[in-house]
Amino acid sequence: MLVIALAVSTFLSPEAGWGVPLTQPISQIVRALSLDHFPNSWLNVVLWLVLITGMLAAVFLKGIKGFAQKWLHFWLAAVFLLIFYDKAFNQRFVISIQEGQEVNFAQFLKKPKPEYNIPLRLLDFDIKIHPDGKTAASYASRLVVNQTDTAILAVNHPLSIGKYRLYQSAFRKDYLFEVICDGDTIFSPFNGACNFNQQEIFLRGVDTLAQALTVEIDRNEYKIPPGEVCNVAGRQIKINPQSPKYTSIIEVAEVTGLKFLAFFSLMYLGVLTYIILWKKIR
Amino acid sequence: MEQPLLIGALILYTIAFVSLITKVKDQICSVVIWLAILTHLAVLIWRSLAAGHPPFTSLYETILLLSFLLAFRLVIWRRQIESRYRWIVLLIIMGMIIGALIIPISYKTIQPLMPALNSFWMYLHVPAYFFGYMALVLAVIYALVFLVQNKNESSSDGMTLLRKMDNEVRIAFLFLNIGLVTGAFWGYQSWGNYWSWDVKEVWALLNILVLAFYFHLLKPRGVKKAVIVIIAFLTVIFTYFGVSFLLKGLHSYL
Repeated sequence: MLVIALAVSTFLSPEAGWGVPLTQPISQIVRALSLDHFPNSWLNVVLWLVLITGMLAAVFLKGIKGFAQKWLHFWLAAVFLLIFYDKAFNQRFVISIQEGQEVNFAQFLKKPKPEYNIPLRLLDFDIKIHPDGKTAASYASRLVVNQTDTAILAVNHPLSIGKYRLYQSAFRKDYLFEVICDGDTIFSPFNGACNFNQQEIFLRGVDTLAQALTVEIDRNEYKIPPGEVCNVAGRQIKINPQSPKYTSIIEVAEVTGLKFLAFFSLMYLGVLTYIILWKKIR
Repeated sequence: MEQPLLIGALILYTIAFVSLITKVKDQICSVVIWLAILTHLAVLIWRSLAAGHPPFTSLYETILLLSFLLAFRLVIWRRQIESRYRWIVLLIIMGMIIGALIIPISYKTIQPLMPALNSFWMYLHVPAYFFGYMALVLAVIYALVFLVQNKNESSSDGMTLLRKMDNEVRIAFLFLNIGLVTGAFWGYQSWGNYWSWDVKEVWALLNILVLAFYFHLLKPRGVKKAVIVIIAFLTVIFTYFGVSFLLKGLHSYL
């Protein structure tokens, strides 16, 4: 049942793009069995717990006779249990930090503790591009942790803070503009609203043909060449493009108990190798 | 240079195939297969040098890798694969190379390596899987021969086939498990997650669960075992091709 439910659910998850129309009667079955979000459903948890219980019962109640086979199923049940524990209790969250910005690590935790009152500042974001000019070959964040230690966080090179691990997940390139309106200055990204005395100015995009920035004021669009003062809607406006800034997107995972998971998995593989090479599986 | 070499390998495999079915001297056949393998290896080395990484990252590269592993297995453990079944393996290798030659050029173009793929784990995870797939291809050959020829499991022929299938399934099961565990370690290092319930991960788990049935049969009869191997092979085919073409997920590297 677990095998069939898992197989069917891969087609019915929203990401798969094979959704069942709500009007069809089958959609009620899909919903009742949570097949459209099966991995995160109670049914998946229950089926895995049944499997784990069955395996442990077979190990301890002499359902499995061979010594090596008992250990194989024991380590496998332990792996499944720890994955279950990780999904149920370990916290995961995402931190986005722009170059030069500082955040406090504790503010993201469900239960903030004083020892995690650690400031994280993104000094700069280093990105190397493949010769195709489009794809990132590697990227890394240079972070200042606790105002003293400089650390590099890169893809496949996580960073540990206590029982949390930080992973370089993704990045965003933000274009910032200095918008000067009648002497007042506001820094804004694209589509950000700049409020000058209750009048909002939106930067909508770049008109490459006119070599100008498209600006929206009171639902009217205007073209303003960058770095030039223009009289627009009765105001003197000047927009200076700033050098783009990167925002580092960092995924954080609580890793309590996960050292055991690596150990249990290796034990499982070790026993399996022993059985495959020297014994018959039954 | 890659394509002419691949065509050369295909021609050599074809000569080996013809010499096998026409029962030309065994030594001549072996020499031709070795030449084909060396040419095939040259293609893989050429591709690796051009791409700057081993041929593990796209459909085209992995087809070349899998067919090479099958050919390598054909000569390294010759005694395990009886000569009367070798032509089937050669036919599969030729089919895979033809497939690699005719797939659209966009699949053959070298794509830049994503940062997450640039990891030590790639050198364990991908070969482990393809070693497992290679063993499963051989297992499914034995399973099909057993079913098609309607062999009796008490006959010596039937027993030999089942024993050989058993060996291959055990190798496949071990290496698919190694692939899954090393993939989980890799995921943990890249994304901080041993298990993400990504569609490829789910299907890789299904491959192992289906093969686990094989070892948990209460009455392990030949026909049942052969059918399970075929079902496992079909799930592997879906994991390899179907997931990439029909579903979307973290492993969409086509």
